[in-house]
Amino acid sequence: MDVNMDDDLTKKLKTWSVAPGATPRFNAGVWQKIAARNQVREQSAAYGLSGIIRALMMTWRGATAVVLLAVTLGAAAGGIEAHGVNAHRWNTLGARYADSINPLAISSGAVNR
Amino acid sequence: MKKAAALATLGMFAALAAGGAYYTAATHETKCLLSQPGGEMEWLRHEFQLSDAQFKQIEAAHVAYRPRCDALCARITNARSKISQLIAAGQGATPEMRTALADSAAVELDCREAMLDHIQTVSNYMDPASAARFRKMMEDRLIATSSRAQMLFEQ
Repeated sequence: MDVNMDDDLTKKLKTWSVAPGATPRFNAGVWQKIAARNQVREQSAAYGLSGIIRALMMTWRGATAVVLLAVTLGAAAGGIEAHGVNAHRWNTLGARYADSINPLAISSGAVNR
Repeated sequence: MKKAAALATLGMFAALAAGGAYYTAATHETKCLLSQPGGEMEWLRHEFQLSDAQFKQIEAAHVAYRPRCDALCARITNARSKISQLIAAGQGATPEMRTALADSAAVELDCREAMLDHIQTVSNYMDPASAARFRKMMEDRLIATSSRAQMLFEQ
Protein backbone atom coordinates (compact mmCIF):
# COMPACT_ATOMS: atom_id res chain seq x y z
CA MET A 1 0.00 0.00 0.00
CA ASP A 2 1.03 3.56 -0.67
CA VAL A 3 2.18 5.33 2.50
CA ASN A 4 1.00 8.76 1.24
CA MET A 5 -2.50 7.43 0.62
CA ASP A 6 -2.63 6.18 4.21
CA ASP A 7 -1.70 9.66 5.49
CA ASP A 8 -4.42 11.30 3.40
CA LEU A 9 -6.97 8.86 4.65
CA THR A 10 -5.94 9.46 8.27
CA LYS A 11 -6.18 13.24 7.84
CA LYS A 12 -9.64 12.96 6.29
CA LEU A 13 -10.85 10.69 9.05
CA LYS A 14 -9.57 13.16 11.66
CA THR A 15 -11.50 16.03 10.12
CA TRP A 16 -14.76 14.09 10.14
CA SER A 17 -17.20 14.91 12.83
CA VAL A 18 -20.68 13.59 13.36
CA ALA A 19 -23.35 16.18 13.93
CA PRO A 20 -26.63 14.31 14.44
CA GLY A 21 -29.57 16.54 13.61
CA ALA A 22 -32.61 16.75 15.84
CA THR A 23 -35.42 14.42 15.01
CA PRO A 24 -38.28 16.10 13.20
CA ARG A 25 -40.63 15.72 16.28
CA PHE A 26 -37.98 16.72 18.88
CA ASN A 27 -39.53 20.08 19.93
CA ALA A 28 -43.03 18.72 20.03
CA GLY A 29 -41.89 15.84 22.28
CA VAL A 30 -40.22 18.22 24.73
CA TRP A 31 -43.30 20.41 24.93
CA GLN A 32 -45.49 17.38 25.46
CA LYS A 33 -43.32 16.26 28.42
CA ILE A 34 -43.46 19.77 29.97
CA ALA A 35 -47.24 19.89 29.54
CA ALA A 36 -47.67 16.47 31.17
CA ARG A 37 -45.50 17.49 34.15
CA ASN A 38 -47.43 20.76 34.60
CA GLN A 39 -50.73 18.87 34.49
CA VAL A 40 -49.62 16.54 37.31
CA ARG A 41 -48.49 19.54 39.38
CA GLU A 42 -51.73 21.44 38.80
CA GLN A 43 -53.77 18.43 39.89
CA SER A 44 -52.06 18.28 43.31
CA ALA A 45 -54.11 19.57 46.28
CA ALA A 46 -51.36 21.90 47.53
CA TYR A 47 -51.07 23.59 44.15
CA GLY A 48 -54.85 23.91 43.99
CA LEU A 49 -55.02 25.46 47.44
CA SER A 50 -52.20 27.87 46.79
CA GLY A 51 -53.88 28.74 43.51
CA ILE A 52 -57.14 29.53 45.30
CA ILE A 53 -55.28 31.63 47.92
CA ARG A 54 -53.41 33.48 45.19
CA ALA A 55 -56.68 34.11 43.36
CA LEU A 56 -58.34 35.37 46.55
CA MET A 57 -55.31 37.56 47.28
CA MET A 58 -56.10 39.58 44.22
CA THR A 59 -58.85 41.47 46.09
CA TRP A 60 -59.32 42.77 49.63
CA ARG A 61 -62.66 41.00 49.75
CA GLY A 62 -61.00 37.71 48.96
CA ALA A 63 -58.30 38.20 51.61
CA THR A 64 -60.93 39.16 54.20
CA ALA A 65 -62.95 36.08 53.29
CA VAL A 66 -59.89 33.85 53.85
CA VAL A 67 -59.26 35.35 57.29
CA LEU A 68 -62.95 35.13 58.25
CA LEU A 69 -63.06 31.51 57.13
CA ALA A 70 -59.98 30.78 59.25
CA VAL A 71 -61.58 32.51 62.26
CA THR A 72 -64.78 30.50 61.79
CA LEU A 73 -62.91 27.21 61.48
CA GLY A 74 -60.74 28.07 64.50
CA ALA A 75 -63.79 28.97 66.60
CA ALA A 76 -65.52 25.77 65.51
CA ALA A 77 -62.48 23.70 66.52
CA GLY A 78 -62.35 25.54 69.87
CA GLY A 79 -66.07 24.87 70.33
CA ILE A 80 -65.71 21.14 69.65
CA GLU A 81 -62.80 20.88 72.09
CA ALA A 82 -64.68 22.91 74.73
CA HIS A 83 -67.74 20.70 74.35
CA GLY A 84 -65.69 17.60 75.17
CA VAL A 85 -63.96 19.26 78.13
CA ASN A 86 -67.26 20.60 79.51
CA ALA A 87 -68.92 17.19 79.22
CA HIS A 88 -66.04 15.63 81.16
CA ARG A 89 -66.06 18.34 83.83
CA TRP A 90 -69.85 18.13 84.14
CA ASN A 91 -69.56 14.40 84.70
CA THR A 92 -66.89 15.01 87.35
CA LEU A 93 -69.16 17.48 89.15
CA GLY A 94 -71.98 14.94 89.13
CA ALA A 95 -69.65 12.34 90.62
CA ARG A 96 -68.56 14.90 93.22
CA TYR A 97 -72.18 15.51 94.24
CA ALA A 98 -72.82 11.76 94.52
CA ASP A 99 -69.67 11.39 96.64
CA SER A 100 -70.68 14.33 98.85
CA ILE A 101 -73.75 12.42 100.05
CA ASN A 102 -71.98 9.09 100.29
CA PRO A 103 -70.37 8.41 103.70
CA LEU A 104 -68.52 5.41 102.25
CA ALA A 105 -66.81 7.62 99.66
CA ILE A 106 -66.14 10.39 102.19
CA SER A 107 -64.57 8.09 104.78
CA SER A 108 -62.40 6.47 102.07
CA GLY A 109 -60.84 9.85 101.31
CA ALA A 110 -62.42 10.03 97.85
CA VAL A 111 -64.04 13.37 98.76
CA ASN A 112 -62.43 16.63 99.87
CA ARG A 113 -64.74 18.48 102.22
CA MET B 1 -46.37 34.32 46.55
CA LYS B 2 -45.14 36.33 49.55
CA LYS B 3 -48.57 37.89 49.95
CA ALA B 4 -50.19 34.46 49.86
CA ALA B 5 -47.81 33.19 52.55
CA ALA B 6 -48.50 36.27 54.69
CA LEU B 7 -52.24 35.75 54.29
CA ALA B 8 -51.94 32.06 55.17
CA THR B 9 -49.92 32.96 58.31
CA LEU B 10 -52.42 35.66 59.29
CA GLY B 11 -55.28 33.21 58.77
CA MET B 12 -53.54 30.59 60.89
CA PHE B 13 -52.98 33.03 63.78
CA ALA B 14 -56.56 34.29 63.47
CA ALA B 15 -57.83 30.70 63.61
CA LEU B 16 -55.69 29.91 66.68
CA ALA B 17 -56.77 33.11 68.44
CA ALA B 18 -60.45 32.50 67.66
CA GLY B 19 -60.23 28.87 68.77
CA GLY B 20 -58.44 29.80 71.99
CA ALA B 21 -60.85 32.61 72.80
CA TYR B 22 -63.91 30.46 72.14
CA TYR B 23 -62.49 27.56 74.19
CA THR B 24 -61.63 29.82 77.14
CA ALA B 25 -65.06 31.48 77.14
CA ALA B 26 -66.97 28.22 76.71
CA THR B 27 -65.13 26.33 79.46
CA HIS B 28 -64.96 29.21 81.97
CA GLU B 29 -68.13 28.22 83.86
CA THR B 30 -67.23 24.55 84.38
CA LYS B 31 -63.69 25.51 85.33
CA CYS B 32 -65.03 27.85 88.05
CA LEU B 33 -67.54 25.23 89.27
CA LEU B 34 -64.81 22.61 89.55
CA SER B 35 -62.49 24.90 91.50
CA GLN B 36 -65.10 26.30 93.94
CA PRO B 37 -66.11 24.26 97.05
CA GLY B 38 -69.88 24.17 96.41
CA GLY B 39 -69.55 23.42 92.69
CA GLU B 40 -71.42 20.13 93.00
CA MET B 41 -74.53 21.89 94.35
CA GLU B 42 -74.42 24.28 91.39
CA TRP B 43 -74.15 21.21 89.16
CA LEU B 44 -77.35 19.90 90.74
CA ARG B 45 -79.10 23.24 90.18
CA HIS B 46 -78.12 23.40 86.49
CA GLU B 47 -78.45 19.72 85.67
CA PHE B 48 -82.03 19.50 86.97
CA GLN B 49 -82.98 23.10 86.16
CA LEU B 50 -84.06 23.78 89.72
CA SER B 51 -85.95 26.94 90.58
CA ASP B 52 -84.56 29.15 93.34
CA ALA B 53 -87.21 27.84 95.76
CA GLN B 54 -86.43 24.20 94.90
CA PHE B 55 -82.71 24.83 95.22
CA LYS B 56 -83.09 26.46 98.65
CA GLN B 57 -85.11 23.50 99.94
CA ILE B 58 -82.57 21.01 98.55
CA GLU B 59 -79.68 23.00 99.97
CA ALA B 60 -81.36 22.99 103.40
CA ALA B 61 -81.89 19.22 103.14
CA HIS B 62 -78.22 18.81 102.19
CA VAL B 63 -77.10 20.80 105.25
CA ALA B 64 -79.50 18.84 107.50
CA TYR B 65 -78.13 15.55 106.13
CA ARG B 66 -74.53 16.46 106.92
CA PRO B 67 -74.51 15.58 110.70
CA ARG B 68 -76.03 12.16 109.92
CA CYS B 69 -73.44 11.67 107.19
CA ASP B 70 -70.58 12.75 109.50
CA ALA B 71 -71.77 10.35 112.22
CA LEU B 72 -71.81 7.51 109.70
CA CYS B 73 -68.32 8.47 108.51
CA ALA B 74 -67.07 8.26 112.12
CA ARG B 75 -68.71 4.84 112.52
CA ILE B 76 -67.12 3.58 109.29
CA THR B 77 -63.70 4.85 110.37
CA ASN B 78 -64.06 3.12 113.76
CA ALA B 79 -65.26 -0.16 112.23
CA ARG B 80 -62.43 -0.18 109.71
CA SER B 81 -59.78 0.68 112.27
CA LYS B 82 -61.06 -2.14 114.51
CA ILE B 83 -60.69 -4.60 111.60
CA SER B 84 -57.21 -3.24 110.80
CA GLN B 85 -56.12 -3.72 114.43
CA LEU B 86 -57.38 -7.29 114.47
CA ILE B 87 -55.66 -8.06 111.17
CA ALA B 88 -52.42 -6.51 112.50
CA ALA B 89 -52.74 -8.68 115.62
CA GLY B 90 -52.71 -11.71 113.30
CA GLN B 91 -55.44 -13.61 115.09
CA GLY B 92 -57.32 -14.69 111.95
CA ALA B 93 -61.08 -15.30 111.90
CA THR B 94 -61.74 -15.08 115.62
CA PRO B 95 -65.22 -14.37 117.05
CA GLU B 96 -63.98 -10.82 117.74
CA MET B 97 -63.07 -10.42 114.06
CA ARG B 98 -66.43 -11.85 113.06
CA THR B 99 -68.14 -9.21 115.24
CA ALA B 100 -65.97 -6.42 113.77
CA LEU B 101 -66.78 -7.51 110.22
CA ALA B 102 -70.47 -7.71 111.07
CA ASP B 103 -70.29 -4.19 112.57
CA SER B 104 -68.58 -2.90 109.42
CA ALA B 105 -71.21 -4.51 107.20
CA ALA B 106 -73.98 -3.07 109.39
CA VAL B 107 -72.49 0.43 109.14
CA GLU B 108 -72.26 0.15 105.35
CA LEU B 109 -75.88 -0.92 105.26
CA ASP B 110 -76.82 2.10 107.39
CA CYS B 111 -74.84 4.32 105.01
CA ARG B 112 -76.69 3.04 101.95
CA GLU B 113 -79.99 3.44 103.77
CA ALA B 114 -79.13 7.02 104.75
CA MET B 115 -78.09 7.84 101.18
CA LEU B 116 -81.29 6.41 99.77
CA ASP B 117 -83.31 8.42 102.29
CA HIS B 118 -81.48 11.59 101.31
CA ILE B 119 -81.86 10.89 97.59
CA GLN B 120 -85.58 10.41 98.13
CA THR B 121 -85.79 13.64 100.15
CA VAL B 122 -83.98 15.63 97.47
CA SER B 123 -86.05 14.15 94.66
CA ASN B 124 -89.24 15.09 96.52
CA TYR B 125 -88.41 18.76 95.84
CA MET B 126 -88.04 18.19 92.09
CA ASP B 127 -90.66 17.88 89.40
CA PRO B 128 -91.57 14.22 88.65
CA ALA B 129 -89.49 13.84 85.48
CA SER B 130 -86.37 15.41 87.05
CA ALA B 131 -86.91 13.38 90.23
CA ALA B 132 -86.98 10.10 88.29
CA ARG B 133 -83.86 11.11 86.33
CA PHE B 134 -82.09 12.19 89.55
CA ARG B 135 -82.88 8.89 91.30
CA LYS B 136 -81.66 6.89 88.30
CA MET B 137 -78.47 8.95 88.01
CA MET B 138 -77.71 8.66 91.73
CA GLU B 139 -78.42 4.95 91.73
CA ASP B 140 -75.86 4.46 88.93
CA ARG B 141 -73.29 6.73 90.55
CA LEU B 142 -73.73 5.45 94.09
CA ILE B 143 -73.35 1.85 93.02
CA ALA B 144 -70.15 2.88 91.22
CA THR B 145 -68.82 4.95 94.15
CA SER B 146 -69.67 2.25 96.68
CA SER B 147 -67.62 -0.19 94.63
CA ARG B 148 -64.83 2.38 94.37
CA ALA B 149 -64.92 3.00 98.13
CA GLN B 150 -64.75 -0.73 98.70
CA MET B 151 -61.71 -0.93 96.39
CA LEU B 152 -59.99 1.96 98.23
CA PHE B 153 -60.72 0.31 101.56
CA GLU B 154 -59.30 -3.00 100.34
CA GLN B 155 -56.05 -1.34 99.21
